[in-house]
Amino acid sequence: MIYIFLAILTLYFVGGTLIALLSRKFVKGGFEDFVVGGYRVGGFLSAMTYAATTYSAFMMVGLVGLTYATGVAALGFELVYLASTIGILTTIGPTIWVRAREKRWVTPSQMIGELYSSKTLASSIAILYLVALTPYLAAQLKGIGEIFTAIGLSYEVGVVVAIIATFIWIAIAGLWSVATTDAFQGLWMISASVGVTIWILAYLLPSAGIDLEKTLNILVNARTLDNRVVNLMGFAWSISMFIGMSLPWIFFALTNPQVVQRIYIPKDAKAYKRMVTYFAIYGFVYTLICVTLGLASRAYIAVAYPEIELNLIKARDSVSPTILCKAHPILSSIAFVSIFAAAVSTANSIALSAASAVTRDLYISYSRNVDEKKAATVTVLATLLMLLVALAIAFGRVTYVVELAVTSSAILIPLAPITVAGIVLEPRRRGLPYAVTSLTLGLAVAVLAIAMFGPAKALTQPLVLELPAPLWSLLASAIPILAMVYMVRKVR
Amino acid sequence: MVIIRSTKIVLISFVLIVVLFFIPMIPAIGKAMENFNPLTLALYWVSLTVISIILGLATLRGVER
Repeated sequence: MIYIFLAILTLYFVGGTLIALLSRKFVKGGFEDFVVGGYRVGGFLSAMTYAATTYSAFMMVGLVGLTYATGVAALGFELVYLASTIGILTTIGPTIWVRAREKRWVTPSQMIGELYSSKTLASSIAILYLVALTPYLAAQLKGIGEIFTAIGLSYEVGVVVAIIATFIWIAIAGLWSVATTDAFQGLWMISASVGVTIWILAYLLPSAGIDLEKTLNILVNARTLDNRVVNLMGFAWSISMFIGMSLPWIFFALTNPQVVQRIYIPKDAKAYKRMVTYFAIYGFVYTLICVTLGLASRAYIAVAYPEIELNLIKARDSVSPTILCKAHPILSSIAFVSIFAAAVSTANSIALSAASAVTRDLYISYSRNVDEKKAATVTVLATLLMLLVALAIAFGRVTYVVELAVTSSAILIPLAPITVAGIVLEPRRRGLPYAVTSLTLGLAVAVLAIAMFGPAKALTQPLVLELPAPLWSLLASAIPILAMVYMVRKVR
Repeated sequence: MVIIRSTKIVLISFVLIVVLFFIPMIPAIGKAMENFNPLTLALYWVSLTVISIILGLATLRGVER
């Protein structure tokens, strides 16, 4: 098994590196080209990089485990993200895309800074990206480390291999190598997940004598850790958990720089439409597959290995590796590499995005006579630095993959109101005090919740009135913006 | 200039779809869905997503530049 995995991993790495090297033919040079592909990326590549950036190791590890432990509510949590993202990409998205080309925006922090005419605001948001996204990046690396452990390899080796792949595929051609390798990895991810689903439904479940009726029966009468019976096909989450987990993801497309940047890159309107269409189809299929895997895994384990059923609820990130280890070594290796690919494709987009924000809004903004090549080099160095910090966090093995990833999004929630209002109203300097107040209040609530409950429970624990912190963070940041909207309309 | 036809209607529709995702949180409705059929809740969320995709793609047809 280990040798087959290493052979397939090598194949994947060599294939990805060749694709990255080939992508250099698209490069025209300069910082803009390095970060947003010179706004010349086609529809298919844009869609695949959007999908591969969004869907990380969280899907095949975190979501499968979450579904296994808590049931079909995880489907609602993941699909509400998809529906709201399609809403954002089809309403405000086209406006962002057009303005980005007109105003030559390369980073979302630059975009917000220009909408409110403040370099300081742009710089502050670039720093916020670093703070919020480094744990998100570390979560991807941790996922890979756990996959390596499940296979019988070293956790640390997995993390280091992931760092190397991430860095090389950024350094070769910036966005071009990231987007092309994302397309390669996105196709690998979906193909592997379809293969695993077919194997589970057509072989694994029947081999344990489980049909659809029995599966549903097991899920409807599942056991909890305290030995209660719970219906995993019903709404088994608390209200606070569902709102707390879902809310950051509903605004993900507006708050996370690695995906906002993807809105800038399609070369024309046709490419933009293709990006949204293909992403929607990809997201829908991939989500259904991962939730199906989680539910099917629960049914299978409950029948074939009842002694570990409850243990896996406690160690839910181990559900996928446990099930995949039962497949043929070639299939399981392809699936494990697909999880590796999902993590790397998200990690390289996050690292490039945050590093480009640092370069644009902390270096170029304050420098005179900036050399384009030098800016690209600074981006590479910032990427390396960020990866090394994430490496240190990943070695510390902090909390669950799901919570780490979603907590990062929670910190970024206050960016949603100022982005929407900024794009719609373009308030310039007069909107700045409102934007700063909004950001400060929203962040204060998020930080308070993390301090009170810790990162693992900051999203889901009720903060006030039995409602979770992300909702209060959003409300706190929305109130100053509503005041700004009123003020701007009154002036006009 | 980018034009999106019926932006306000589309925006309201998407907000409504997102709100509808949270309806099963109401205990009485969640329980009724559970009792009706084990697949009701999953199919409800899947249907909402399909509607959002169809609405999104229809909206994109109206995007011009």
